[in-house]
Amino acid sequence: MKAVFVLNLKSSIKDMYLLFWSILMPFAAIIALRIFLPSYARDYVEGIIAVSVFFYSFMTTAFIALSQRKRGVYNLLHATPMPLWKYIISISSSWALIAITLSYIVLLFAIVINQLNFSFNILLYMTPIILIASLSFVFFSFFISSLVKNEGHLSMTANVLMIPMLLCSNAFFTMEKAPNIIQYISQVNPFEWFVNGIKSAFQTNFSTWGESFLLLLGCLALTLIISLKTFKYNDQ
Amino acid sequence: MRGENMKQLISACQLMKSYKTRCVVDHIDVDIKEGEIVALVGTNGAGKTTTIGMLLGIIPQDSGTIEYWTSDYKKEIGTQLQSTPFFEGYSVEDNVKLFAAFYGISLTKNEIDEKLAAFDLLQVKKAPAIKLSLGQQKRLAIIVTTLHNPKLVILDEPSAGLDPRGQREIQKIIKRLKGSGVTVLFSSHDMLEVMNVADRVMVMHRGKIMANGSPDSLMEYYQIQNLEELFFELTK
Repeated sequence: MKAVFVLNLKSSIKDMYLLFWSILMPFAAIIALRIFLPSYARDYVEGIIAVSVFFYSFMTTAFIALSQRKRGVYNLLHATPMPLWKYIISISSSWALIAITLSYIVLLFAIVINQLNFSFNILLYMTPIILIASLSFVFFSFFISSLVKNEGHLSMTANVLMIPMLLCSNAFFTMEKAPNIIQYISQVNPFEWFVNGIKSAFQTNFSTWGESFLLLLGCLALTLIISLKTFKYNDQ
Repeated sequence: MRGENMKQLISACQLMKSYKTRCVVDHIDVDIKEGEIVALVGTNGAGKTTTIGMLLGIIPQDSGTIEYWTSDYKKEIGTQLQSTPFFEGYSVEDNVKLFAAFYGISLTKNEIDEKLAAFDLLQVKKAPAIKLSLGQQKRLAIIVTTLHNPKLVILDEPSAGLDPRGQREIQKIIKRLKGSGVTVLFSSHDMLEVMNVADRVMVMHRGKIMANGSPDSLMEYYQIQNLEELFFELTK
């Protein structure tokens, strides 16, 4: 497992194109807010971190998984004695590590640009939330990539799932005045749990942090099972 | 009769596989004995790849049984698929390390270099595996196939698409494998290649095994001068 983890980490870090967008877009958002909406700039930091991690852990990995399957390497994996769960957990862990690193980079940038007060406790509470959430999103991306036949289908399916998840959350605007149905959806939205977890890490609100942690842990277990049960080695 | 005392590595009985309404493999028996080089020949669409997929455990058969000489057959079988897939984003060296990890093997740098050098791939070890020429990919695929010193190697059209020099290299590799005690099953529709290396030939056509025997015995039985004529006779 360690070799698979390290090799996937090495390969993923070399993908500068994907990393570029996962870092550039949050940086651009932070700078734009600072320039055009300085009074709101601080309020959106958690949302920007959450979106950055979400996009990398879900969208990016779904395309990679689909690409590998279409190349036929999963067929070859199937012919080896490597258990599927070991493979999925190993590569997902490497992607989660990258997601955590991305979040640290975005956080550091936000702190510098917005001159925020930083405490080590933020990292201490944010890290497990990001780890569990990014793993969940990666496992979910395996599931989504197993449903589709090509990149076009994947793009559409991912957008159909991601956009409602983003909109039905407190990432960038409050749900307090949203219609009841939207508020209900936000309560069962894993991305909302993720955002709440990050916000509570910043606010050192242990009760909300604990609730988010447990919900995300449940999400992690469920998405792992779904990804393993639905994993497709090939398109036949 | 030669082969009577050879250990049976794989014994497959009445294998059947259909896709939608088309029966691709039609109740065939396949046996592979230790120390043989067995060629599975047939036209495109005869069912060779599907048969190999079932023997490898990567395509589930609709009916029939497969018995292996060991319960851990995936550890003891080396696989080269027709498409020679490699992981995108990984170098030649990293693909070797990754597949070694799938077989539970840890190779030192020197061991990897030795294997790559033996197949004339040392100079491209840092190159992305998917960017190699077809001949190089085929050689890399055979390295991956033999990393874990398997007892049986299954190659799906190992020389397809190669120039005559490349084809000859593959034939030499197959003979070398036999010389080192490895049993080989390979599929092909190049009868000259089969004539040069195979101890036994199984001719497949429209999902059925039309003939099964040594090249000499088949040519004698069908009163035919060469295997190419036999191929045309049995696959018309």
